[in-house]
Amino acid sequence: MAQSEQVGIIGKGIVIKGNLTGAGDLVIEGKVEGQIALKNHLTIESTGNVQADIQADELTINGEASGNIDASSKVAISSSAKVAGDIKAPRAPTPSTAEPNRVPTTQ
Amino acid sequence: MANTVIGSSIVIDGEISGDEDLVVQGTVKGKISLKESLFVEGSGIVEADIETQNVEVAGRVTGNINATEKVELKSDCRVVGDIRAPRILIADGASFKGNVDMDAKGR
Repeated sequence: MAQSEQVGIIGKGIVIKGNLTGAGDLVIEGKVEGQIALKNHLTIESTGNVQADIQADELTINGEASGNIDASSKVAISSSAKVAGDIKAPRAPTPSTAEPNRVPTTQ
Repeated sequence: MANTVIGSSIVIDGEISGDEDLVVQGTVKGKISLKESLFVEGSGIVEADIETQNVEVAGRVTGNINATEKVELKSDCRVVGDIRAPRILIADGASFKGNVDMDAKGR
């Protein structure tokens, strides 16, 4: 499907405050405050800082994220990531060096 | 240079600010203030007040545009709102409704 190939990138110098929704993949290198609802894959890069409730199909966190995370397929948190908030996902692998402040709940 | 792209399936409702170029292929509602250039591509829809250095519009913009350097309305674009910039270029085929203010001293 053509839509899943579309990638949105929020660069390092960009700050977004508000609601972000969409169907394509999204890579965040900058800062997002508010709410994110995405039907595909969301990647928060190491420079990325997200203070938002996140809803996505798949989520990869290499940077900072605070807020409630709800992923419909999986969450991957790298060792460099900082995550604060509740994580809800069918599969939530948590490397020992990443420190979510609460225990992930899986369904 | 990192490039920020709001993909065509992405909708942002809120405020975008930053110091790098922004390409909008999707929808942005609210406010955009950048230190660099904004490109609204053919599929892009912006319902926002815009404050940037340069603006290039090939899609749709509803809102006031305030640019410190140049505004370029490409053919087939639709712009409703006031434009304030020292240099303004409106291509053949562009649709524009609003006022033009090129008085750079007033800023």
